[in-house]
Amino acid sequence: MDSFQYLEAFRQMLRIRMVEERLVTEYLARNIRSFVHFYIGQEAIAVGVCMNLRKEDLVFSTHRSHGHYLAKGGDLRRMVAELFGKEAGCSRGRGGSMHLIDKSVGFMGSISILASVAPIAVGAAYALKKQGRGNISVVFVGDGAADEGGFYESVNLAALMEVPVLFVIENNLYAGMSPGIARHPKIFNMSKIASGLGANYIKTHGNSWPRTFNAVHYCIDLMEQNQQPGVIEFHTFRHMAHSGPLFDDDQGHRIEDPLEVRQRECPVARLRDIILKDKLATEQALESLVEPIEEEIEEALKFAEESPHPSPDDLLKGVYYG
Amino acid sequence: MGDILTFAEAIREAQEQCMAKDPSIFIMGLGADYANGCDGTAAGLADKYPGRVFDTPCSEGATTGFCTGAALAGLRPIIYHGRVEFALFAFDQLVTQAAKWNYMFGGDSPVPAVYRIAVGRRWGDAPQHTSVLHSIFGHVPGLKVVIPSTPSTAKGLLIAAIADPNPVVFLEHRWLYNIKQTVPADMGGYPLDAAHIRPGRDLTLVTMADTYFEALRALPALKAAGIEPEIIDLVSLNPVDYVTILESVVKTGRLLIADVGTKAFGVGSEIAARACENLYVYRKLKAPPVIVSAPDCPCPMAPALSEAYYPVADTIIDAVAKMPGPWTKIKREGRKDFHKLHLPPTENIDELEAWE
Repeated sequence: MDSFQYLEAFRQMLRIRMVEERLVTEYLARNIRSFVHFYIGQEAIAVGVCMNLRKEDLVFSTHRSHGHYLAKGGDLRRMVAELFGKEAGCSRGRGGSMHLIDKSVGFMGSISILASVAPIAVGAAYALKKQGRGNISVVFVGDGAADEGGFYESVNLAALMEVPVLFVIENNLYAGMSPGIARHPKIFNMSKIASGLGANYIKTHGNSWPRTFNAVHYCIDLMEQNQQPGVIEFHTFRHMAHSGPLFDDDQGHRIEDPLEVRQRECPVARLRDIILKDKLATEQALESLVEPIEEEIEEALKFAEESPHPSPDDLLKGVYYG
Repeated sequence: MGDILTFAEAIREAQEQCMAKDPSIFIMGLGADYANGCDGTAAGLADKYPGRVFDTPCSEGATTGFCTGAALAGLRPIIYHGRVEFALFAFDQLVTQAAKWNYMFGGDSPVPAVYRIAVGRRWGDAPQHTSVLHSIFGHVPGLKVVIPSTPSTAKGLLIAAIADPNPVVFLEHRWLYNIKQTVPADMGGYPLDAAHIRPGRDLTLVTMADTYFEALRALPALKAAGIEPEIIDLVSLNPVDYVTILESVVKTGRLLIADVGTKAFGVGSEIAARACENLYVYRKLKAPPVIVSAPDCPCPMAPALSEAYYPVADTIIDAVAKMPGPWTKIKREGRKDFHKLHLPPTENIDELEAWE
């Protein structure tokens, strides 16, 4: 990897972070009426995965999908308009934060029923294989989704059908507010499960962009070699509460990962430290990234604010296609 | 012209012909590639179309979602669930994913998949293999839902379902798999939203799946009593063809719905409500709408009990006899033997429909 990749990764992660921090303000100002799940703290995963993908590779995601959508190249203006419930939104205001889509860049949709997205991504991978396109399908799920039977059914089905699908588990330790220790026995071992189902399994640190990028690169190589799906489990921290612009430290369940620990592990700050320490870019060069992003965000907010609301006359349109 | 085909053969032929024209169509389901795959509805197709008809794990949720994903990425999947009770594992995939996909992503994300689900009675199958649950699917915006009653309808609807850009739930009443009919070899799709009508005069008899067959069985007795029912084969549960039904009710003034499942919150209740909701239709009613259906209990295994469970020709005859009308006594078929009540019929629908 050369310095350009580090700088591009940092720019993308910073952009996702700045977008979401701005969305917090807009949410509190009640300009956003969509239920929102913030991705803050997990940016190295979305960017590490998507920097390995081509535009024609397909990505599916769940409710915490702002980062995935943006990292895959989704249109920021249409995402913000979607959160504002506007007709110009990427889902024409019908979906909101949990249902983003931008098929022009291969972002195929995000859903809010956890592992339900997994088999859909497997089916899409089957289509890619049948069409001989040489592309892969990637599905982001959380550790909560990986509790659901549909996840295991999907890994099994993918391995059985030998389809090119990569399951990315973002293990931020909590499903909603329920910690992993309340959901799994002490001997719980995803490595044995995923490997036992026939998948290539990798587990690594999700807050270090070089690690996320390299893990995905390595896993896709393995998938090509042995025609088996990939399961990568990234350990990470969700800075904020499950949903909304809140922190959940007052709920009494964040014992081993209080906010100061989560912030110390901040992926954006970590990558910045690596870049500066290895002299891949100057502090000034990193600072210069901020202003264009700010301008882009303000422009997107203006676009969203000025866009018209959907018409109630169109309430029933789109229930069926065509 | 066409051959005399069973209901199962007609479904098979629809798939065979569509697969020949469109290489993006595939069929998956438990045992789909066996010699008599999918209750005979996929027989021989695995050999004819290698790699396009395949068996699956017992993972109903994942295999159903797989079809949705394959449809989103450009293929035209058909999945077969041999019992509706197993398809319930896939309820999230049908109701929350496939049905809502196009709407929640702004109207430009079609899901051209067919979800074939076998429903209904078969002898000895007991409470967990005999549900119909058709009204639940009809309840869901975004799904198209059809329930064919004859071999021709099954073929025509399946051709249309495969071509449709929306998720179509195709409910197959297993008890009908052996009924026969002359089915056109070369035919287009039937509209997915249009009921079929057999004209009559004295009452509107709305039927679906096996109750259409039972209504045809009841026809001789009704005619002998001077009653000419207008028999409507409902065909579609979403959308329901209310125009055809209500126009018929306006003409006949009487509405009897022979529902194929249990009564509570059912298709019969829904149609009766719509007839009463419309003031013009309501004022034309000479009697309250009547619903016959299976009772609100699971279908028991014991033949002595299940013979009291299914709505059959005599159930329809009894209901007509009780309706206020210019008729007196209608001769019932009477108690049937095990064979006639419980084993799937093999009659030719053309002959039953032609009865005068």
